[in-house]
Amino acid sequence: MSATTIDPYASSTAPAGRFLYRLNPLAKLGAPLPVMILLAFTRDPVTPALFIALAVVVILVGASLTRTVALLLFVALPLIVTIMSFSFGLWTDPSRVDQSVLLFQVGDYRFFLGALLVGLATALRLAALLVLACIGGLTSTGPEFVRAMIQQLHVPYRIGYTALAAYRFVPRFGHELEVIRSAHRVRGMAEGRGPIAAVRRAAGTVVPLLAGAIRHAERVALAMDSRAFGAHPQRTERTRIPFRTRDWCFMVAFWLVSAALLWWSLSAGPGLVIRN
Amino acid sequence: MRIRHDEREEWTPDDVSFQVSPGEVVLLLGPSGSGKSTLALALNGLVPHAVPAEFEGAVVTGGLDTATSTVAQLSEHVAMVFQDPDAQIVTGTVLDEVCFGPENLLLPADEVLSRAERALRQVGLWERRTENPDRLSGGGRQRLAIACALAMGSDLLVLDEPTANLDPAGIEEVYAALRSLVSGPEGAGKRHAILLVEHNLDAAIDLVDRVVVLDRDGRLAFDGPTRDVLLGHLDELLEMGVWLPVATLAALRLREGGVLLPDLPLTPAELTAALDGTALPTPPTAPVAPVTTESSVAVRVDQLSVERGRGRRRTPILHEVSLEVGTGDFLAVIGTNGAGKTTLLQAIAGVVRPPRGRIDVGGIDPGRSDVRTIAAHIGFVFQNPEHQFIAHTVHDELAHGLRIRGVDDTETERRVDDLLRRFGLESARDVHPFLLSGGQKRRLSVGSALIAGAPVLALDEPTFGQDRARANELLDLLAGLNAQGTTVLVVTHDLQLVADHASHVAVMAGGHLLAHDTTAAILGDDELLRRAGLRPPPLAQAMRSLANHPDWQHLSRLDDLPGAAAR
Amino acid sequence: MQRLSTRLLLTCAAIGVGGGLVFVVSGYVGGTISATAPVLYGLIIGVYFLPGVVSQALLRRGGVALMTGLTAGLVSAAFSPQWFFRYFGTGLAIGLLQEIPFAVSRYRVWRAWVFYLAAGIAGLVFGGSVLVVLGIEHFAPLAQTVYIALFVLSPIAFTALGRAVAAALARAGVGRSIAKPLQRDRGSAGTRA
Ligand SMILES: Nc1ncnc2c1ncn2[C@@H]1O[C@H](COP(=O)(O)OP(=O)(O)OP(=O)(O)O)[C@@H](O)[C@H]1O
Ligand SMILES: Nc1ncnc2c1ncn2[C@@H]1O[C@H](COP(=O)(O)OP(=O)(O)OP(=O)(O)O)[C@@H](O)[C@H]1O
Ligand SMILES: [Mg+2]
Ligand SMILES: [Mg+2]
Repeated sequence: MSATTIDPYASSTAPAGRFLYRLNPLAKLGAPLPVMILLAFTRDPVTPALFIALAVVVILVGASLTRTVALLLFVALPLIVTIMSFSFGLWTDPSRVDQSVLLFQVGDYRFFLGALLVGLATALRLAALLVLACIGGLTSTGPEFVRAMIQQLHVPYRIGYTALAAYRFVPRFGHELEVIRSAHRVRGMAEGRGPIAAVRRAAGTVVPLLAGAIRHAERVALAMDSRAFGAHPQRTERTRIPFRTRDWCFMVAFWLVSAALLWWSLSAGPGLVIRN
Repeated sequence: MRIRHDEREEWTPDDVSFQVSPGEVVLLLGPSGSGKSTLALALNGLVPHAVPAEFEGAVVTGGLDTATSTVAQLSEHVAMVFQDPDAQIVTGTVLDEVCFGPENLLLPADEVLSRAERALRQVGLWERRTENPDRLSGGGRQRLAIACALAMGSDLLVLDEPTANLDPAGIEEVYAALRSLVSGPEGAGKRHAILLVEHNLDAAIDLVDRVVVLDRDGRLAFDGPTRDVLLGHLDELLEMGVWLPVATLAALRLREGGVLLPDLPLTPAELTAALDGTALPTPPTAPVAPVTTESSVAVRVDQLSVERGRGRRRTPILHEVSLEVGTGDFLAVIGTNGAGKTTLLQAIAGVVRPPRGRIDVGGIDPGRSDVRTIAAHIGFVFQNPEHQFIAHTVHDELAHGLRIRGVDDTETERRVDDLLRRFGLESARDVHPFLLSGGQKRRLSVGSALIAGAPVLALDEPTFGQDRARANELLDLLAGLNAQGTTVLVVTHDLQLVADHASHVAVMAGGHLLAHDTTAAILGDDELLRRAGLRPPPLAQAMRSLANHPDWQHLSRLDDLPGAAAR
Repeated sequence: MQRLSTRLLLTCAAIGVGGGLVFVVSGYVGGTISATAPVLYGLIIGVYFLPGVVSQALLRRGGVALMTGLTAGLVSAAFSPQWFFRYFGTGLAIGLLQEIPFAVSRYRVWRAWVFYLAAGIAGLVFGGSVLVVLGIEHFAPLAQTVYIALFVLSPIAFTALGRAVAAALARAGVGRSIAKPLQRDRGSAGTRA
């Protein structure tokens, strides 16, 4: 983890031509939100799978396929779903699942296909939530999101701009951490390997790190105050993050498609089954 | 006006009155802790509105009483530039940054932009408006801070040590920008009044119209035109321990050595002129640097290359640096910001793990030794003392170095007590290191590097942000250690300090070692200094330009001048 | 919102940035846990309480946990954009939950027990909602108990940790000028406009 590797202001990374980057971050959050909430209450594997497919399609069409995205969607996701299906399956109560097909048995413990299916459903549900969130997450930057919160959700701008200023603390934090760690190392603070020494080392760096950060923050606050920060209930916004027709279109379209998928899965598919 | 910080006994500043007229440049001087920064904060109402402090008296700026106006209202009359450029940047691009203030004032967007453009053009940053401020140099970021202040449209600019973090080139940039503000052609724009707090008088002096001096207790000591105050009250100023222009110190020194100059000079150019107009004795033969003949080597660096960062961001920082430091040398490492000075020093002291087999400190290789062994051979003092504090009291902080080496308790106590006494820290024995004053923190960090008895001491910018008295105190301490045989390595931007104290100098530029030689040889080489992006120290500048006294031209140290130390 | 000085806001932001970096680390640990031993997921949930607790214990003012949680969420999300809403939502939600018990006393009581009670309740609420998503009804009874217990215990443990950090910071003189004094003395209020 290297704190210096991110530039939260790198908004120019947005490739032209891909529509997701040109939408308001709130639209990209609002579109999948209702279905994310509904998904939490589903218990079958098909419905989340449908929405995973939907989200993947939207991302593939609307966002550029970087290495990270490709790895996430096509390697990490299937892997996580597989592992989770088993681990959740292992933890389910065997007496509450369909016991018709026995997959394997270790001593007294019997692993049924039913348990695996329950695990699969859970894993797919979590994966669906993750991928749906990715629609907005992968295609908007933090600062854009903060600006949208200020402009559309009317979050007080003093809070929003404080959060923006906080992005500037991140690389500084990383750098300070590095310096403090090496300073403590050469002074022979909690030498040795193993978790206990590691915890003691970490504990020793927390105070200087936070103390330095807070003192820096106080200086930044003075600089902001002396530039009239908070003078008026509003401030001039030069960078508008408008909520346009296309944002509405995207949201409504997404809702409609979601509703259709849900309805289909309810009526024709295994349905919004809540087992008891 | 007087101010007392919460939880403090003393008033700093105490009972101070003065005024700044439009278009005037006022320099505020005073020893560390006299309340200069506090006073500056009071001018736009940050004291008492944002900083908890008791405030008596009144400050009126632009017709507004700071006690009854908000900081925001005052910001249109008084703009601030602080010491640390990084602590003033809030947004992601240069343009956004300058717009930040006017936007807060709720000005219409086109007015915001036109103000921003004007301000950026004034400091010469308009071309770089789309860049991330992090990409600017230190001097560039500080010019950006000045532009931000200008964009507020205020008549008074308050700058608190604006160049303390910068290399000589950056300092020049900042003062060039300031100079164009006050001395631009009449009618080219509004002439701003400036209140300046600054330690580096040599850079600032030709800009200043008037000087206001606070004494150690924060009271107003002097207030008057630059020359009257600085030259009229020299002895008191020396006594207070505030910084003075090097040219003036040199002239004082000469006066005691029997060379009387008709007018005391303030700038190198004035010193040159005064000396050229006077008959001078042959300069005292420079005392031959004492023990350099000794051949033993304390630190040997051989073809050292260092890379930092991880993965794709891994970049080489030092390129095949080779260097030998003799035992008992006082080596100064100089260079511009980012030249690799800190990295070199840290590699030598094993702070960043150097590659194996490249460095030898008193027979050990910091690349493969454990911490205890390294600590016994070389002590390292970080630029920010707080980074290296690991204990909860001053006493434990000093004892730590001994404890991890298994020194027994009575011996530890004896040595800690001894060091506390030597560094004047007895009364702070049980205080948390973070609660010490800046000067005390610095002494403690030197003490904790020393206590293990290492024969080599490495310090990163030890005099940064200290007043003259404190800096001298520390340098005397180092000189004392050096005289007893400790090899001292310092990284510094203060070339006059280098000239006065170092026996040898290593010049870094872009990760390469440009040169390593005796101080006189390096500081005498203008071409070399220019290539490294540096300037000759003020005294050398003055001497170099002498027309009538060729035998004085090579001088660069105050100690080379006839007369006793004028400290 | 004028009640919160810029100083206070930025101090919270600084603590939040620290918290955010801890979130990122715990995010990887948490990912591993939920993939392999989902019942133990509650173990790391306490991490999300850290920034809020540190700021509340250090500054003793209303709104600080929310502000800290918000920054922590945003910052950690910047590292793992694919989890933007996971971090952001968690940071914000827990910050909000942490405000409630203190808001009930109108930010007058800052005793230790309130912190622990708050942590326990918030853990329960949070564990409950994650529980719906995971479909806990399929879990064996033992697993259910362990699961919920961890969701309560972990926040309490991390609250203790956060309070220790805040105490160490206070000892080093950090945040003194903006912290609300322990013994309330009304005389010195009003230094800020
Ligand atoms: N926020 C604060 N809280 C409490 N005391 C403070 C605070 N800031 C400054 N002081 C104290 O007030 C006095 C004046 O400090 P100030 O920073 O104004 O001095 P200064 O003249 O600017 O010193 P320097 O040259 O070191 O910058 C000092 O004793 C300092 O310790
Ligand atoms: N950990 C690191 N990772 C990546 N780059 C680094 C790291 N540390 C330093 N650098 C870079 O290496 C270069 C040299 O840094 P260094 O701190 O040695 O310079 P310096 O000469 O001490 O400068 P200054 O006068 O500003 O202190 C700089 O460009 C810096 O950005
Ligand atoms: Mg100061
Ligand atoms: Mg350096």
